[in-house]
Amino acid sequence: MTFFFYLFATLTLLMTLLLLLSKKLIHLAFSFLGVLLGIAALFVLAGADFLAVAQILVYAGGVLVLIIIGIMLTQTAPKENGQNITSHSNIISAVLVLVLFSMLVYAFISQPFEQQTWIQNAQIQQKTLQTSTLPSTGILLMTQYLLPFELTAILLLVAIAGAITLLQYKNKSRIL
Amino acid sequence: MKPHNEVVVFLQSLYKDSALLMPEWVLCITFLGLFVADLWFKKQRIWLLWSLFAGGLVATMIVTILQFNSCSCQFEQFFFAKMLYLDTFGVFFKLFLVGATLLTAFLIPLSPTFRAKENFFRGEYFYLIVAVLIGAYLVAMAQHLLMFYLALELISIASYLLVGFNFDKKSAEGSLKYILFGAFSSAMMLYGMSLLYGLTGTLQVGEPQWITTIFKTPTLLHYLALSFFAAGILFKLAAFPFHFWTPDIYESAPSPVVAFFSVVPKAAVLAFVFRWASWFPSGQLEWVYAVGFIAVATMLVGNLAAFWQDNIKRLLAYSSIGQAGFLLAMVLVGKDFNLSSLLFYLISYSIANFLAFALVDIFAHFFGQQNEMPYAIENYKGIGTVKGLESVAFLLAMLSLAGIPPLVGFSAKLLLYSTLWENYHLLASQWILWILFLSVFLSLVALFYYLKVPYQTFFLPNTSAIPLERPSTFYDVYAKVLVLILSLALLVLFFAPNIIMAAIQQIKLG
Repeated sequence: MTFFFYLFATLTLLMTLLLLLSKKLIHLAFSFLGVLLGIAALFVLAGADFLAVAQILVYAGGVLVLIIIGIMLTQTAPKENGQNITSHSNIISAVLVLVLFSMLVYAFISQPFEQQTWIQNAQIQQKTLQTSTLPSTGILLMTQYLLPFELTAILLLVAIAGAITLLQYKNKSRIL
Repeated sequence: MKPHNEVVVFLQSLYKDSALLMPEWVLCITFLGLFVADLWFKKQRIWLLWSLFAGGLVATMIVTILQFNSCSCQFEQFFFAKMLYLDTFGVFFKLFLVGATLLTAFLIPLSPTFRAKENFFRGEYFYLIVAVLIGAYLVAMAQHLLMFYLALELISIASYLLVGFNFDKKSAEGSLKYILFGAFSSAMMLYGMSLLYGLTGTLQVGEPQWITTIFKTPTLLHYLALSFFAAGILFKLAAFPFHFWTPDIYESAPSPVVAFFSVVPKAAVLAFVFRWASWFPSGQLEWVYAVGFIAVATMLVGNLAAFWQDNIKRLLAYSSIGQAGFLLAMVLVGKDFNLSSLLFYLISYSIANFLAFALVDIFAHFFGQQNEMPYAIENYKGIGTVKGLESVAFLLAMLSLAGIPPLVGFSAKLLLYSTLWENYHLLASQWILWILFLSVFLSLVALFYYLKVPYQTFFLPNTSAIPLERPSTFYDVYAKVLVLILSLALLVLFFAPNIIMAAIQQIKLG
């Protein structure tokens, strides 16, 4: 179990690095696919089977395909010159990011997570790994999380209606 | 998994609780009604949609008032599986939010988008505003991080879209900027929430056990988690490290939307912030330092940057950043703060702000469609002799924002200072005294840029070659009546603050 965790964690990290370092959009999209699949594997190892499947279906299956289609439709002649990476502001942000990262690492290492009661309880019960989370997720969505669930409906309706509104204006003579 | 019986009992309690969501139901019906009506009616639909919109808001307001009246005491309760928490504080904020949205509805007919013929008006405008209001209503009551995040995201997504409703290049650019900044701050906030969940094991905030885990023995990770979480909130408030988006977005969005943004999402998030502030342990001063620092920095940034603006909307954007600093200064003192001074300040700020943005649009109409930059301050030269009423109203709005008697802004600032002074004695922290001095000093500084436009209108000669456009009689009368009502409100609330104070003083944070 631990071996697989480290395997997939390394894979995800490598893919993330590749994503950040790649210059071509299509390389970026495929390393992103690696990241998403790695995270899905980590979800499986954490016992979150529903989340893992949703991750693969929604992100790897939906979002990534959208990104690739987007790249296909918007691709223009490559402009590879003129990218000045070591500009002044980049150095500042690199320093800031490093400081934040080391702070986070220190904070995570020094935090006594194993003393927390809810984590201790979860370790004793070991419930999550034995049964599928799908039925309880469904029941929770329809009981305890009913209101957020319904709110998501309005959220999606707003997003769809808004996207259509913005698109319709492309056909008008106005600018945009 | 829960047994079957338990689920049924749970569902029955949800069914019972849904009666408490009455105002939200009315809002949702308005939202869907506008959605359908927008598809259904083709001709002459602007005013029809507008009246549906305003009617829905009035209905919501009535239902919210009923809720406010029915619940003065023993009302505080969790409902909907502890997702939301209802107390007089929350209901009052909801009332305030719907009132502000109704004012926005009255501002909309003044805006160029509403009048322009070739740029036919979109019904989406109305129901997106209603969607923001639904989100704001839920944020004001949220007691669960998932609920809070979804409601905030509803506000955000509808806002990103509303910024683009001028449908020109600038507006699209503003909208895109807003999405990028907003997505970034939401991501930071989500990360903070996930850390908070890891530290407490629950998303249910505000329970005694949760408060002790978070605030009693904070480690570095607690501080980091809370700062990440604060990022999203400060972004919505347009407070110090996350204020950069404000001027660009305010400049490119339609003015009624800007007036709406500078009040409604801010007030909703403030309600949430004040709940958090009431959980800060009163003995520890770190929280006072942190919030105080942000408040002071926000005031400084807003008030000092406003000097160099030559666009009236950018000036008002920086002014709203400065005002957010003043509002945040009230969070300083945890549970000991004086609620009524906050609410009074919020009301006075909103009225003046709405008046200012209404006048921005009215003046832009006078300057005409040929004018390339209808929001440049130099347009206002010498207009005071031609458009007396509007110019005086503008002066009143600016003076009220700056806090000059005899306007309601003065009473609000006075209340703020006296609250800070009391809390200085209560907490005996020099820090609060410094904040008090700085805010008095900055409101004096603010006077200079607030008077920038009135100076142009009254003391400089008109040099513009383009003659003023004559609005239609209906527009003229409508604008004058609206401006008169809002200006009178500024004056009346100064002389008789008891009109709202009586209601405000009943409000308790549960």
